[in-house]
Amino acid sequence: MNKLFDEYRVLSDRILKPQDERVPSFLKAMESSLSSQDNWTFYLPYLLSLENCMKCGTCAEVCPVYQEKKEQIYHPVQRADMLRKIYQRYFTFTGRHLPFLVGAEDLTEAKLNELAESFYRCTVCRRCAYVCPVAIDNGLLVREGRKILDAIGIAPDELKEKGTQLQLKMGNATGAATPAFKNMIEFLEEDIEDTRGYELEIPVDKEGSNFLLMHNAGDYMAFSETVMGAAEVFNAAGVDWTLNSPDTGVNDAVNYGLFFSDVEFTEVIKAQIETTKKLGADTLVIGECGHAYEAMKYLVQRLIPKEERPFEVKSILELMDEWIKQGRIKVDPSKNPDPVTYHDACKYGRLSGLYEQPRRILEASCLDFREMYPNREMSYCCGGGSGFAIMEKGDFKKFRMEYYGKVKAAQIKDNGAQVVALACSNCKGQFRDIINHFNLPVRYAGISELVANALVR
Amino acid sequence: MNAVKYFVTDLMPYMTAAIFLLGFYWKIRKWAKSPRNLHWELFPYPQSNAEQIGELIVEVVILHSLFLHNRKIWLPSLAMHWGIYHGLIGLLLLTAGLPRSVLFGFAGAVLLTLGALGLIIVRLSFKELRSISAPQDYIQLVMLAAIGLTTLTSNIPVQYLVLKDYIRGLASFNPDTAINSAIFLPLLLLQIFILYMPFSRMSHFAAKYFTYHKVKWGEPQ
Ligand code: SF4
Ligand code: SF4
Repeated sequence: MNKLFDEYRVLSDRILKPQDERVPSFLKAMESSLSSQDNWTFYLPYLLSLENCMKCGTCAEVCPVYQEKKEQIYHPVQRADMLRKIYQRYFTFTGRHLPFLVGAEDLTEAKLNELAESFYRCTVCRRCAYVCPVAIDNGLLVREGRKILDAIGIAPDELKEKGTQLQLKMGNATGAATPAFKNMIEFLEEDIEDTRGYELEIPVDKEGSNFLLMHNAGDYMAFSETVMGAAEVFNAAGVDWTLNSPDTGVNDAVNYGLFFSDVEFTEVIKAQIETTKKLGADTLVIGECGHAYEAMKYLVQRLIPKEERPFEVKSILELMDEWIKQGRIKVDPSKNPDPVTYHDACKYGRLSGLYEQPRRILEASCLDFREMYPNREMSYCCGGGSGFAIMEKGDFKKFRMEYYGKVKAAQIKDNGAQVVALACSNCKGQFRDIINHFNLPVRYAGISELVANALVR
Repeated sequence: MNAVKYFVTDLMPYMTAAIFLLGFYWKIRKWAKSPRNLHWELFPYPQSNAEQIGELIVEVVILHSLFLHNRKIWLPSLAMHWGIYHGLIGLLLLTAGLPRSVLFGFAGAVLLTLGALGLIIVRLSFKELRSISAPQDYIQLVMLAAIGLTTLTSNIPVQYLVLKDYIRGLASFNPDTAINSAIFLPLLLLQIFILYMPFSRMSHFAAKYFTYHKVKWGEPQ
């Protein structure tokens, strides 16, 4: 594949069609993105961010991608301006008539290629938006740009064909059908018996239970310790709960639409709501998956009326925190003696405000909990955000390591932890790679896994 | 020349005021009438009104974000903003007929000039700022610096009485055409800048209400 923007290529030729004429359709899709009706979901912040950037550069001072090597092409404003210049040139009076004054530029096919690739070099972590004096959101502009690209057929296949589309067809983005899924559950039950020495039944497709627990389906294969840990914790809490198979609809908490398309996002979330309603659960519990929580907890609110969602939504973190507080589950921190640190996933922290719950859980169930710095609202994105964790083509893993991973690796080395506790599946994917790539003497663990390990029975 | 002067001092202020108000009305209406966007807040955010107002005041008065994260432009930017605040206070006092307005006007002009010039220098000397700047970014700073400088050279203290009568004349729709020519230039520049505001990102102070209250800050929990 030819390089089009930097030394990486996220979008294959098949998807990007770099030689085709796409500018007219891009402009048309952009016009529609600028309509308060067609794009009501984010119209206001989109417009505000297009119109009011003061070019002060504060965003760049905190952007993990830019700060790594200070390469101008990764400057948040430089990236946002790729879209802003088109906005000015084609959709504003000054830009149409005095383009040089405001820096408005014609869109060419080559620039479109660059824009498309560049908009997949930002994880929409929104660290920049948090510190911007005008609260301009470069992450949001990136997401809006991705939406326009998707509207003209340009979206990474990991997120669309093999992501949202596969999930809607198969029930999960891993493509696992019900028999395979059930086999996996049996296998996990056996595994728990082998390691812990007691029998545990993992309920599947139970109707009318209090808690329907939906994991990121990738966890069943890649991070099964988290799935087993959650099962142990739910079992120990003695609550009425269930997992679900693809037979019931969607059994995957992920919603990759969040990363590139409101249309896909809405379809997936509707399917998840339907499934929950069908199973008649009182509470939909989102497993360890940051963006899934943000989607079901916050983004859904003004998208789907409350009466169409007759159930509560909770993160597994909130539940475990409550259960420990109530004494419903008992934990013994000495069972987790190694120093543990916690990485604030952007989607749990800045975007959802779950800062205290994971800390309380870890302090209760680990002997030596230590912060990494900076943390909480100033936490650095690990580099797995906005779909990156599952994207490897075009040497992209190297980008994830060199531009986000390095910062994270340094943070871990600094605080001397031996375990990095993670509450988000995408973060786990990224940390697995970071630990390998930088040869760090640490391991990562899901929060549920650590709690399960500390359970007193 | 007399016709031009008459236009700038006697007619243009009304036009400027009208266009400024209409322009802002149009812009703010567009923002205010936007459909409610999906939740997109960033945590933590101030919960009560008192907390929100507190955060707003700290941001407006000391430019807290710049202080914390972008120190190199903080001081000139602070000077420039304080220059504007002083100028506004001066104008209010002048309208009220208080001689102290001279002091505020003078301090405002000094701060504005230094701040705007400082920002031009910073913008030019850092590559990462230069490369994200368009001509517009310099022009608006030059405009502000010019307003400050011409105000200083117009010898404001001496103009106090003239200005007081002028403002009062304007307010009673009976402008005093005998205005000193030394005030002509800053007056013209100021009006051009005011005209420019609603149609550029110089309306960011109003945009901030929306970016903070409607987007970055969610509902109280
Ligand atoms: S911090 Fe905000 S206003 Fe400043 S350059 Fe970045 S996006 Fe623009
Ligand atoms: S959202 Fe994150 S990665 Fe993207 S520009 Fe802002 S700080 Fe950088």
